[in-house]
Amino acid sequence: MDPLEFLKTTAFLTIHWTNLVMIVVGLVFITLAIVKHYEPLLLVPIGFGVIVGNIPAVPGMALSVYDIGGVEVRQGEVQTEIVKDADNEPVMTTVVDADGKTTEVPQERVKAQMGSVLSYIYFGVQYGIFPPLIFLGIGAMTDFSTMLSNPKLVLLGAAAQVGVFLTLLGALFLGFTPEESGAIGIIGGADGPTAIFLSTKLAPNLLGAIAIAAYSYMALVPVIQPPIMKLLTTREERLIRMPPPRKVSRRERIIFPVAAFLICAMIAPASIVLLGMLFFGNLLKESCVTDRLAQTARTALIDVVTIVLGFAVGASTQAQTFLTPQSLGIFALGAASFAIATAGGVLFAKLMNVFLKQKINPLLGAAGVSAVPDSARVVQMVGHQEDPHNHLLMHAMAPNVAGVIGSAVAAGVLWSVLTKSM
Amino acid sequence: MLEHGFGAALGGMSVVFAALLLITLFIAMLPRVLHAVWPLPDEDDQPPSSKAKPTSTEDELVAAIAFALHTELQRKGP
Repeated sequence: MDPLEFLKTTAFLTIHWTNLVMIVVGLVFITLAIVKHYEPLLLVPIGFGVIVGNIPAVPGMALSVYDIGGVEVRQGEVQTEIVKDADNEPVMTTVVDADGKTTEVPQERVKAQMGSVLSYIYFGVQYGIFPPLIFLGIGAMTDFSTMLSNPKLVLLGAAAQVGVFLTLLGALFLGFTPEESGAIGIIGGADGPTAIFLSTKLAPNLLGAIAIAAYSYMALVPVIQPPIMKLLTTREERLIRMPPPRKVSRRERIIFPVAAFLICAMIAPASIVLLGMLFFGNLLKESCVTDRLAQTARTALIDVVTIVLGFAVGASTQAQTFLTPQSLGIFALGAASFAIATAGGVLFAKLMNVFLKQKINPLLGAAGVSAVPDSARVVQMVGHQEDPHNHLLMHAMAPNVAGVIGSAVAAGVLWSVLTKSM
Repeated sequence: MLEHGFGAALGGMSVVFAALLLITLFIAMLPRVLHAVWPLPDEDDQPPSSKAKPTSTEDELVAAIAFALHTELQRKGP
């Protein structure tokens, strides 16, 4: 072995300073997860994935997320076609990128160098397979009882989606395409799987940046939301106590997922993938006859998918594609989106109080962003600071789960509207 | 582009509100509809006292002894 030749393959010689920046970002994610307990189930896989994805690949070896069948395919370059000869034997694989540029890869090269392991894991992200599976697990672990006992709180989940649509306008104003703007706007839904799902459909070239922004802001819910909540409410409002929820019958809990799915699917058919899985998971739980399936969906399945999803998303953030001015713009818009969504929910709760006899605590509006259950926990925390005997967590779960439904409907609407070009 | 964006944003927000408003109305009406259409008491709704509790012979004996003691004490007076 020639030591010099080997030295040329080591990352010490090939690593770029931007990769080092991304590795530091990965370390920050892991530190935040371990020290501050910010969304550790997401930030540890993503953070380590970021580190893995920023080790430069050895030339000629399929190692990175983008190494598919012997050719490095960047985000957005997803159309591949196998060209066959007269004997139906594959001779060539063509890859068409987002700009329509075609790259031809001889079959010998494809055979000799299969895609990287990471690229196969990333397949589930790239084609939007993982997000619906996450939704299945979320459905199997969600208890809609609080929402069913106080239906008016559902509207707070709708109000918080204002962040999605105002950010869409902001992104258009900054020069993003309509498809990209829709994908960026959904960050305001505060729902990582939904953001990934919509990005794969509308703007696969921005998938890494949008996914990282969405999960970062979800992790930072305890930091971002409280100042906005306190700014928009008076102490008297924060002290409002909610009446105890009524008991919800088993029949209501079983009928709800089926009926709610039909309502949403009829209005926004493009949301059936996400909402279908969400409500299917919930029916598995509430029917009480499929305990094994519900148990698997809410434990093993969601855990496995979270691991591979987080790791693959992290590994897709190679500095060369991720550290761009465009990504910075996405992060800025994402922060604005999150803040607007929180403010939208709180202000709508205040508006509802103008018409309601039994006032609702406007802090609950902040839980309308669908970061489950973190935003509900933040509501509990802020309410608890004012009155240690005021327990808002259970009530906050109602707008919180309504926000999950709202953001999935918003994603469905954006997908169907924006794919037909504005 | 931006004016189309306003239309899409307004339309999208309206659809989200419409969907969740319908869910709100459905949830609000569901208990009443269920009570009217399907008035069978739900298993979970039964108060614990209304459910028949199996009693053992031991419980019956204890109740009988307690009753006998009570009657005897009543007869003797304070």
